Amino acid sequence: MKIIILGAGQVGGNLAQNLAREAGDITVVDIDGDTLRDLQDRLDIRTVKGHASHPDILRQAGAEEADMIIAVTNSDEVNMMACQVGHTVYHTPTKIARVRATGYLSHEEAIFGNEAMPVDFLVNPEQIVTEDVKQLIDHPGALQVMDFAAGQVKLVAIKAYYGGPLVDQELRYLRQHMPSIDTRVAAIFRRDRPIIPEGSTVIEPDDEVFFIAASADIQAVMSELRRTERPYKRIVIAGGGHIGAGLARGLEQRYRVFIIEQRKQRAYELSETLDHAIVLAGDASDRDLLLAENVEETDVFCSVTNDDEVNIMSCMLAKDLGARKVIALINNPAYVDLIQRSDDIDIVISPQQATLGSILSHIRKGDVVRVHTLRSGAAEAIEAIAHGDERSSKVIGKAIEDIDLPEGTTIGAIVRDNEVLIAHDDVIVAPDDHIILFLVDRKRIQDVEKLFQAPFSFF
Amino acid sequence: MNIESILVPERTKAQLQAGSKKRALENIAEIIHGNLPEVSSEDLFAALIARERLGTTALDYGVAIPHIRFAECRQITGSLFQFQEGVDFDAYDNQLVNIVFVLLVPLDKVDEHLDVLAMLARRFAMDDFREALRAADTDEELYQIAIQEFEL
Repeated sequence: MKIIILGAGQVGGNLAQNLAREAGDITVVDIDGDTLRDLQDRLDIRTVKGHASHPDILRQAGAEEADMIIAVTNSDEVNMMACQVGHTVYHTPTKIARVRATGYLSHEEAIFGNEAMPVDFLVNPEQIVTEDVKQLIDHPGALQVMDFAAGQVKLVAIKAYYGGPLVDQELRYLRQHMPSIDTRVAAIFRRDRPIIPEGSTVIEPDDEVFFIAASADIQAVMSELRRTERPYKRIVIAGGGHIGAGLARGLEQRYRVFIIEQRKQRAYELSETLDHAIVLAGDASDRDLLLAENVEETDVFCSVTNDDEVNIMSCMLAKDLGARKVIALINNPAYVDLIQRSDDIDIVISPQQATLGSILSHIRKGDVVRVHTLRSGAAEAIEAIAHGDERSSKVIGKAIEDIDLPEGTTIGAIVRDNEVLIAHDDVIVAPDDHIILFLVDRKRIQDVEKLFQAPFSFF
Repeated sequence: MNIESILVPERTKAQLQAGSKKRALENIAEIIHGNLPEVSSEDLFAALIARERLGTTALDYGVAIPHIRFAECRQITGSLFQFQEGVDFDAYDNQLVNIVFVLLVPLDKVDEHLDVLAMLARRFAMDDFREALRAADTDEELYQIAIQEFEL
């Protein structure tokens, strides 16, 4: 697949790195030659220096041949214009643009479409991150929460702990333990190595367990598995930018929300627009401010300023002062790995990782509707639709235990006509089923794609 | 049904060039539109791309048979294209494709199209047939080879 990435900033650079790995044919366009040289030194890609939306630059980048344009420059307008040029001049089949301004997004349906502004898919990392953090707060104890099938199914990562109901039990015990709730463990990571779960697998403390269930059941499963986890009440958000404000707005009805914003004017604006959340003007890494606001009674301290260092330090400080759970937004990929390996911060949110999945879903062959990358991109969870019939498809008409899945791949659930079926061995796949799979090793994705590609005879 | 009943010389083109699957399908949509003005090249291109997205229509041995149901198409319509250089169609055998037969089927045809598709798949599986098609230098030559009667 030939892909043009416009903008070599953090999002564009990270995408180029991840997509180049998938053996795609990648060209990156940026106005800044130094950034491009730096990328080209590290990655097997082509680069073109110039203005991303200019037709001649796009042609130089291979737009006549390209299957996809991913416009992620810093400018919404350049991104939209590049998609327009791609559509009108080069008939680019798939056009993805990063658009951040709420002004555009609030008129999404009127503005975006082939008759108006031809953007096929919008990407807004801030929105994705806001949703991710909201999910984490709504699911106490979760390390990661992922939605599938329009929110009907959730995949949740939790850490097993000493004395918890999961630990030292065989997995098959789970079913006896929770007879009324259907759930399935999709994967287990033990000291960073994947284990394929079987009935006889015994969970150890500190294992990272990924389980899947219908969204309606997820709270029940979580409260069984993490029985000691009290619900969250008091939330402190550091940083009143797009993400912080969006979080406060989404949470203030159900939680006691405090938001710390350094810029006086912005703090004032926030206090005007938020109904219940309390706005504090000040520095999130100011120990005295945190103490004065009783950070030790905070259930979740979430730092989402646009400064990685501030987010890391204020989270470490809050944790040290007694905050129950701390979540840090970190842009720099080197920091993400470093902090994830340390125990100082409970959850690291990487906008690049969060965004990658939504772009990968358009690159996957076959009818893949949803992709979430996990564990810094090493693992992946996908939702694919099975097309064809019993004669031609490699999955339809087969029981799950008979499907020839690549190593390290498990089927977690199936959604059929809005009904969630947990993937027990004897469930038989039907045409148009949405199938949710877990790959502990993303390198196997091509084998999975082959399973789910519509067969030749599909009309 | 045979190839002659669905193919006309105006939709048989030899010696085409395309650097990618996208470019190939774009050319193909233009050529079909040229012969069938009621078929919009943009809609056809979009539909062909959408089908490929679900899974490749490439068979083995450098042949692809993109096939779709298409509202603006009144009867089963074939079009044959030979490319000078192979195009990457994501074939399972990783071979580049230089023979492309596009099959458009009206929405109301229920079973017939599967027979036609099967007929085409059998025909293109024959080594001699593919070799002869590849060797054609002109549109006319390509057409004459394509419509030859054959025994299965």
